[in-house]
Amino acid sequence: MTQTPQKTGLTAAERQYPLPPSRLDVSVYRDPDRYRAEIEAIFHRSWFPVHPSSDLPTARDFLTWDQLGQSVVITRLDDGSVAAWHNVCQHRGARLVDGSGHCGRARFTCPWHGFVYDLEGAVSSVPLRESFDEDALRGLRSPAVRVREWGGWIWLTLSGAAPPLEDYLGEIGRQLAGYGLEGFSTRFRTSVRLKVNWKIVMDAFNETWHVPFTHRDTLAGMVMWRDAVIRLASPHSWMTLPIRGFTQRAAPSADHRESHLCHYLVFPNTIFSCFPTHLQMWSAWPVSVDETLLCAYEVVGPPPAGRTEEEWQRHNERDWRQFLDVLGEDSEVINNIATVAGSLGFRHSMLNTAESRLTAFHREVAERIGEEEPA
Amino acid sequence: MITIKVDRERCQGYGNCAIAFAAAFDVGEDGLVALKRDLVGEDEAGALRRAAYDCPAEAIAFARNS
Repeated sequence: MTQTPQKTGLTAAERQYPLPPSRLDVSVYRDPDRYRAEIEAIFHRSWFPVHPSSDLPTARDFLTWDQLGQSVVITRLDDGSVAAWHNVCQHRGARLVDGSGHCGRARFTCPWHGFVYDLEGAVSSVPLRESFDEDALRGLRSPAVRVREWGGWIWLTLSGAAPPLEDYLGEIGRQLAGYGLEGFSTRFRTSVRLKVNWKIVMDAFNETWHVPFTHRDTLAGMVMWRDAVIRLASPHSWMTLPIRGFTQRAAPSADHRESHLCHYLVFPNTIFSCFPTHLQMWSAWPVSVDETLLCAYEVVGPPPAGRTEEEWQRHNERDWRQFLDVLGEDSEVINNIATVAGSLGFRHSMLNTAESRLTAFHREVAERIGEEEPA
Repeated sequence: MITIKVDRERCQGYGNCAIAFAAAFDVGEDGLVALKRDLVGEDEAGALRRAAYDCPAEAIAFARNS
């Protein structure tokens, strides 16, 4: 005698997705005016992790950050703190600094007419000083950029009005703080240029139900993609995903950060995809309305109990190769979207409940650029 | 033992079942699911659950024989 076969149906997690289905006009991805509005209203006013802190290991180290049509110099001061300022000479707008390195003399000289800047961006010397209006030179500096070190990352915002970083991060900050990220180190990094709007890139990472299609041979074997529990934490969002063969073994009382893959969106453009012992982080930087630069990092904690440093390193290398495989699969789909990005045959995206994080994200974008609802 | 039931009307030939549980599932020449066998033991229940879970078309069901 055989019992009546049971269909699996929706999982408990799938029945609890937080938002109803929604629709999105394709112009949100294609309209150059909207793109410019997003850069100004969102990217000029948000906090971003821009470099691992370890990229500035010693005093007088510097690096440059070039995204969003902006260039910022970030320096390690002698007291160990970091400073950031716009990478542009106040004389006639030349670029001051290229790349990264160590500036032992703690001075940056403009290659055009020799204005000199200190580590904090203040003008410390002007050639032919008497030939300038002295009042214009008083207190002259390259405008400072707000910068913080938090969780092993250098964060900056181009806005003077953005809330303090911890307030901006809110619940996501409290979640990330539980990992002890200051003790993690960046082992690997890569970047890939994608020929689509930045929001298509973000959308691609904030739902799990593409996993059995796009990642059939990779991620599908690793995570239980139908058991994602989604939380909205405006403007951010996050989800927890059981890891096959790992989550089931964890104590029921274990914190989700110790038992699940926890996937955090830091609005607008950064994902922290955190396993209990390591994470991948990536940011999608808009280049133009239809081009995005994705920068990704593998950040690892100390070896878990019972593993030697060598074993842990091999594990990290294997893990990074798997991530690159998954990223390659996503990139292939995304760049294929690029080939039909102007199609006359596509007017609306339709988002299902599994795509609640996308719905929330697009509402947030729309609200910030002054639209009442996504077009 | 557990009996596998596949619904070939629902099946879209994604092939996830054959990856999850190759000993029981295959994709036939018509591009749809082909069962290698329809009875599996309790020791294979995990693989079977995985195959059903990963089927986006929800074309796989199973029942324990009492």
